[in-house]
Amino acid sequence: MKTRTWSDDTDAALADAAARYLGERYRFDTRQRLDAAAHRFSPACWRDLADMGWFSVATPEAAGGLGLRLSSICLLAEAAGRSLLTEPFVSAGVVAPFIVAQHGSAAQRDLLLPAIHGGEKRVVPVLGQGDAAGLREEAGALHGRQAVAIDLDIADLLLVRTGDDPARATFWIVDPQAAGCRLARYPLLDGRGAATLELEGAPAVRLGEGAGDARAALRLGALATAADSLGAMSAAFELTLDYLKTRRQFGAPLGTYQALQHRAVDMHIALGECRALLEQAVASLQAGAPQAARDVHAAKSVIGEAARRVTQEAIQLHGGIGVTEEYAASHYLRRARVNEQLYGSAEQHFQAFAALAGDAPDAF
Amino acid sequence: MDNPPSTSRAGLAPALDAEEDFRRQVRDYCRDELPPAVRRKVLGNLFLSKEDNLAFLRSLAPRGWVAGHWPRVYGGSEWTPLQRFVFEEESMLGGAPWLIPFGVNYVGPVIYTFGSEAQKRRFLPPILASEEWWAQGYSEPGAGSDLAGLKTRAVRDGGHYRVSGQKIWTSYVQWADWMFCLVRTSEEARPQQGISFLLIDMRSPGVTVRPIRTMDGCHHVNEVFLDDVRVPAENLVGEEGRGWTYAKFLLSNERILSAETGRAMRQLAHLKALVASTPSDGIGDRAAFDRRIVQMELKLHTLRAFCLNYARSMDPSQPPGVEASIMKIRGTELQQLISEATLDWLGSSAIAYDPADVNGEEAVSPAGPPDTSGAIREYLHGRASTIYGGSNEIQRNIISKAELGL
Repeated sequence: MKTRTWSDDTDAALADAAARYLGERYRFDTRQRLDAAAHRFSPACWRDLADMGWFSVATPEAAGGLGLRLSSICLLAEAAGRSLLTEPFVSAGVVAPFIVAQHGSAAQRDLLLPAIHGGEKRVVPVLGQGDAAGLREEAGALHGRQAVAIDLDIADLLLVRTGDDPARATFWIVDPQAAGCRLARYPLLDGRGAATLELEGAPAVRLGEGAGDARAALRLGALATAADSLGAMSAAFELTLDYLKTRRQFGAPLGTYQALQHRAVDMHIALGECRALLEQAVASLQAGAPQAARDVHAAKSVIGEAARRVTQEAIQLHGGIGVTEEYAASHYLRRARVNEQLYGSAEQHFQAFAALAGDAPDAF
Repeated sequence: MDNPPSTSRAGLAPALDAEEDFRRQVRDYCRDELPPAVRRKVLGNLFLSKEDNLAFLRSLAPRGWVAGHWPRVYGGSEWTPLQRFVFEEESMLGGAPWLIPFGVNYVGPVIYTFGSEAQKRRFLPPILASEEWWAQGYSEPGAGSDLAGLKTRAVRDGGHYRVSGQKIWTSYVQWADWMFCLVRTSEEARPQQGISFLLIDMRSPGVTVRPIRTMDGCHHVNEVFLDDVRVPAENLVGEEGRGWTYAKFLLSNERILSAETGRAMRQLAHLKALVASTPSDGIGDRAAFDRRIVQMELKLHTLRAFCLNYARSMDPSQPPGVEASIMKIRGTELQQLISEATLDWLGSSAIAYDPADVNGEEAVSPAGPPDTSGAIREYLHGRASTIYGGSNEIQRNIISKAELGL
């Protein structure tokens, strides 16, 4: 495997610190011994991530962050997926501060962003995607329902989007303890958690003034989630490759059989394609290029589908050990399946990709 | 932590602008300088004659694009890998033919990388001037995917080699002045050793070419019989016994060309135009077919992202890596998907085929729109793409060994 090159010193430093921290302090086998609550969320880990700058890469420098650094966001999300990080990095560490910085008033930014960057407040977005109904504001209070909102189970504050048109959305700050706000909490299939939110006249504070465009936040969430899946599928592939080289059957390592070699190659090709799509989406979004939205749709769609396929293959190539709880292989599949449902499914992004103009000219 | 440098659009713009500017130049060339008759045949997927191919090459010469990726000292324009990719993509999208690679892309780089000064002086200028046509003598009846098993013998006899054996699948050797050839000069324990790289004058006594007609009814490939052919020893490239190294160098250059994204873009645009203009009697569910088109567009988008990512980051001083094998696999798979879908849309008219039509000057077809025959030819000829240049199965073996260590 080739060594990665980073776009600048900040990325190199973030990647190096992430690899060392997660490699030493976030080991799969150690975490398997934790009880459910400790496995779901560690306050100490959350503080450490804040100290390493993880929650400051989606906020402009003027607002106290390191700048909106898509390459940093993606490399950290990839590290999170690779390590099966259950702490809410993409939601509370990336999308929430991005929305606050983009839509919040000066006073709200001053109040919320330092608390987010420092890891003191977990602000979790509720974006009205998936199984949601009737999210709306009436006389300054919120109503409606959102099922399966990831990370809502451990939120300090909610950031609720209203308005059917993503281009004209309003965001509201809601205290989950407030009257009129009910949360039913449950685990997700990969060890993370979610909640179903019922709002019946919950008091809310509007973020900023008037309606704003939520599409940039949705794209950012989709991109970061795709990077997380790329991390999970990379780790699953490396685990599988190692297994093929060491596991012996019929007197030879599994990796000497051509039928298995070609399946491993197809996994490797898929990984290379996914990385290229992610890098292209990062570059075009960062440059504000006209094809940026299409690049993000392509990345989320292809990576979603490929992550499922590669992590399923990882289990199959392992055989029996692959389906066990104690072995990591199945955890990557479960991670990938959860990610597929976040910020739009592979199918939804496929259709959004189809709706935009293509690589080939329509006619001569 | 230090503040990050600004990554605004301004920071990325110069490279993107330079790429876009070069794309515009290639588009201008296709519009203004590519011979219209050649362009018409390419867009109709008709078989190109030697004269068509030469007319194309000559039209590139004024811009210095015949061998754009060669070093300047040998007459090239020292294109970056990205420029080379952009040229191939935009020119094929714009109706230029596949640049038949044996001279410019294959033997030329082998000669300037491994050849003697005399060989460089003798052979490179006529390649640049399109005055000598080259063919590749690699495969043999008993050595296809297992190329190292080749048996054509070359025995040193004073100042000459005497070469005997048989080559097969030799593309366009019927037009060739020269053939570069892998021959066995000694028997070694490893079959890869003992292979040498010889340049053979096709006018030499003992050389016989027999055509092999392929299923599209065209004459692309041949058998070449070598019966005690005398080849001057100065036509050995590099060292005796090192031919496998040169062949691998050449094959890796071959594979980087095989993504052919420009051709896929052109064929997909052709299919979309066909869908828009011609009803189909072969498609039951229009929505399902539209979905197939988008799936191909997404595969094309992915392949382009992979190629661009690689072209922007590769070190041109290093031989291409296994990425070239990935591009070959994916490029040929996509090309076959598009040509299959095109025939599916054409329905019943896609079984009416007279090979004389695709060997003519204008697109004509017994049934369906005029370019139906060309679409059928593209499908039939395209079945070879996953076989030639190292079959896609061999590419997977290469990746498995070289990249995954299996």
